[in-house]
Amino acid sequence: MKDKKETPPPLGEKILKIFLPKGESESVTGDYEELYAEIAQIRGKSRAIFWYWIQIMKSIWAGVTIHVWWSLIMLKSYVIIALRYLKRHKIYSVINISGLAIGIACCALILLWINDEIQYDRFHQQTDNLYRVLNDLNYGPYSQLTDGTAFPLGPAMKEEIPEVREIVRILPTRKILIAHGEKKYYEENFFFTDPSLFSIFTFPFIQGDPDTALSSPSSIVITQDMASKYFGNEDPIGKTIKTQNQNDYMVTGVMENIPKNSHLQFGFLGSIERAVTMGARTHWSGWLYDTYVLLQPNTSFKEVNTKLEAWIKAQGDEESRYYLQPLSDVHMYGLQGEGAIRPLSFFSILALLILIIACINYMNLATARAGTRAKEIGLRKVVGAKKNNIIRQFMSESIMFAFFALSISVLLVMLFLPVFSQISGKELSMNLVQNKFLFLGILGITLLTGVLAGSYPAFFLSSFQPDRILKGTLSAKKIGTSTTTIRKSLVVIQFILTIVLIISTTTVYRQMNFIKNRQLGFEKNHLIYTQLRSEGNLWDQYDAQKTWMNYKTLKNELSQNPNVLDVASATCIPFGSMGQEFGQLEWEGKDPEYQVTMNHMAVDPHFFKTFQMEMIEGRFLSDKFSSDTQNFILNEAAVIATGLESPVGKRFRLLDKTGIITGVIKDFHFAPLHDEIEPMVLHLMPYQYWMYRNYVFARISTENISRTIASIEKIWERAIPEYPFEFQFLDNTIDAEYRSEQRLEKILRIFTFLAISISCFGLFGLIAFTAEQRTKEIGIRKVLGASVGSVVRLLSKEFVMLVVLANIIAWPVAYFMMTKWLKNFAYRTKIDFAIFLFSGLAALIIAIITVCVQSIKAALANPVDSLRYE
Amino acid sequence: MKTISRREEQILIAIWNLKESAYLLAIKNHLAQIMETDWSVGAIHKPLMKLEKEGLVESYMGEATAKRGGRSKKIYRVSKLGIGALKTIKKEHDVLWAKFPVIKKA
Repeated sequence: MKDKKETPPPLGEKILKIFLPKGESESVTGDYEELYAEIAQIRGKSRAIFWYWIQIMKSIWAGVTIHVWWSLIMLKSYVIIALRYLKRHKIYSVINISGLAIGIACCALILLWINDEIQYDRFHQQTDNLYRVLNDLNYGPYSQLTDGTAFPLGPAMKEEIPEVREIVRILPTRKILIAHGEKKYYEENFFFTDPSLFSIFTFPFIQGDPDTALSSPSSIVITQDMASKYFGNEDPIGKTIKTQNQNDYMVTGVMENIPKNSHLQFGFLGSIERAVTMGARTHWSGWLYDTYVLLQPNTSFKEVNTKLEAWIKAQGDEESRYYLQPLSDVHMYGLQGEGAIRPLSFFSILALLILIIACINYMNLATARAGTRAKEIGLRKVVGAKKNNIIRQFMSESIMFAFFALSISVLLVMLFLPVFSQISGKELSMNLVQNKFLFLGILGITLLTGVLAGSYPAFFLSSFQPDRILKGTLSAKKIGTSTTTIRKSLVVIQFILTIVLIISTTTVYRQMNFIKNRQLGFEKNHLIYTQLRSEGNLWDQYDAQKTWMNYKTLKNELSQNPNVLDVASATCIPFGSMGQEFGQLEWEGKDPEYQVTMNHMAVDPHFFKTFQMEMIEGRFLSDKFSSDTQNFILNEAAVIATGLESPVGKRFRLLDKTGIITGVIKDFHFAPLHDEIEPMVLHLMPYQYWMYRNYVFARISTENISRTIASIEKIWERAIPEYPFEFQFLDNTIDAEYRSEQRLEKILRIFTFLAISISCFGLFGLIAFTAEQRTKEIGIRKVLGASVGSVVRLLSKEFVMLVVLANIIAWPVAYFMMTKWLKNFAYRTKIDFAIFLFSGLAALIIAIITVCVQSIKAALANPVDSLRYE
Repeated sequence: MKTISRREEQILIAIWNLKESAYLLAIKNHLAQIMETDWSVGAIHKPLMKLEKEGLVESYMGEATAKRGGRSKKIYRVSKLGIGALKTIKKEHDVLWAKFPVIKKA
């Protein structure tokens, strides 16, 4: 016999303690230990351990059967009762389930959207270790957060910071002309990059070898779509494409199309060696390149950030502060939170509000009808149900309702998915089987709905005292009325939400209308524009003479066409990017200390007429005066900025031009209405400007638009065969600036409609119940001579009061929210009191109609029917 | 008086017999010796808890030994109510079984 004492496994002991009753665990585990030692002594340690675990299994099994089995039995009873109740009270069930179904469907749709957005950039095999380098730039007067970084940054990071495994630089280009034979298109997805792109990101090749595809500066990798756009069915490998009519590239690889949920969207990838100039290689203040890095697995990017900052500081670069941003955040947060997260969180809140409104319906109807269940609860309590059991019963009932609603909402989602995809601008699909996030998310929402809707009724109903119910001192009607205050406040909350939504929708709608009808200071309709030639990138050479001649020819030919009213050219398009000047700006009597930034734009003399601009004083620039090539026109904002009293005739200097101000033009919007109109200087296009980017604008007559455009195209092909004619309507371009607001308006409108409908469903259910309870009262009143009108008034008065109260609370809330939203716009519609009145009245009228339908029915009932049994 | 099951009855008598040393394992061993079947700890513990809840036995915490990992024993004692119950059962049994040998002879 050994002296050493055997002790049972400690893990087993812990498990055992869980299953033992509270006061017993100490002595019983002691007993087990003693027995264990005995068995270990007689039959060996392994047998003892085996025995010990068998004991634990047995106790677990017993615990499980007792808890699960019996609760299942109870659950069965709850389900049967709930189903019976559901069948017996059809209106009540339809209101509840349809409301909850709409709420869940809204949440599910938003969840689909969220799911789509968080999938962004997750398809790369090394997503978790991929980062984008951001640059907090402080450069002269400018301070800006950008993704542009210096060319040498990437290689330096790879060298200096051991955690950085690989880097890739990407140089985006402006719209570039790409041609193969006769096919010519402007493309915006031409990027230059390092060959390491293919090893860092997961962009699979169909043809070609990723390792060598970009080894030569003249090679290019294209996507499948681009291959078929330019080469049709031919094999693209080895074929040549020409960019900007001057640079040849040979196709060495074809990639699969870039997935839609990638924030990098390439069509063409050239070698960065081709694009970088000698100077840029060592230049630390040209921030043209996007840098992405791949870190070693399991490294913290925050540490890398600290190292990077220290290293940059040591190099003496004081303009940039570089840091890493996880790739998966790029789409969600953008540079500083302007990404997908903002609209998404807003729409999520909206969907939740709808769900809350639906849950309130459930709570209200469940507590209002509590009287009908009082006897059931009383009896359950008498035969031994505790408060907990009743809570569990009503919780499981509401969760069951929620799951019924879920099944309907799945249908709703499938039905409305195409519409919703269009509004959100996403290709959404419901794939619950493959997508764990969606599956769990929707399940979670349903459970949450059940618990939220069931919580209040469950606690309320479980608090009934059985003796009072069964004795009859607590009548069904008393129970129903004991919760009226809470019920009324819930109705008020519902209508507050609804009214706030109505006011918001109206305000957003009015603002959108305001934007649409705002006089921009020029006529945006029937104005088409196109690039005169491809925009120059730094490394392209352009012949100013040739562009100028092209324009002359085109203009001459176009002026023959009676449907083309005016033709002009300019260096910028309204709502596009403008030239900005800060230093090289002077005028007569300028305080040398005073600094101001002005936008400037070079135009041809026809620009003012083509855009139908308005002059305040002075005259437009014209080609009749040769000196006008040196002269300027200012807008009103610029005049205020200069502080000149009588600007016309004053001397003015911009860059290398010095002349006089010939006129002041009325302020016009060259940026979205979010921004204040800034100072703007217009001058005639100097000859050398024909080297930079140029746009041609043509005002066309309102008739036969498609024929006019076809004839312009023909003229273009004759005059400028080397560039494609890809035109746009200016008003479309301007509209596109407000896309997010338009989406907001659409979604708000839908959600408001749903909120109104669900709230009214609830009101309908409540009034139906009240009328049912007061059947006899109404009967007696009618017998005694009450008119239909007075009965209707009796029934609807209190609900109408609630809606009025909701209005009073909703107005300041909505006012606050809408003032805040409108602050996004420098030019905005006024928040009119009429909107509030209108929205409140709309809610009131809808509520009154809902209430009246039911109360008229009650009031019209023949008193004989309701009093027959008395 | 509350009715008690046969196993509860056996446990109650075992406690009576064991006097001051009646804790769970001792009861288990005592019964195992008499009945020649070894019941599991749970089979004794569960009825013990019921007996205690109904007031037929009382308990107090006994000494702790190293053998038990320093945990003390819970020692049971038959309460007045328990003694009364046992007496009643004994009386009923005696009456019920009185003629048994007679039947056997015949």
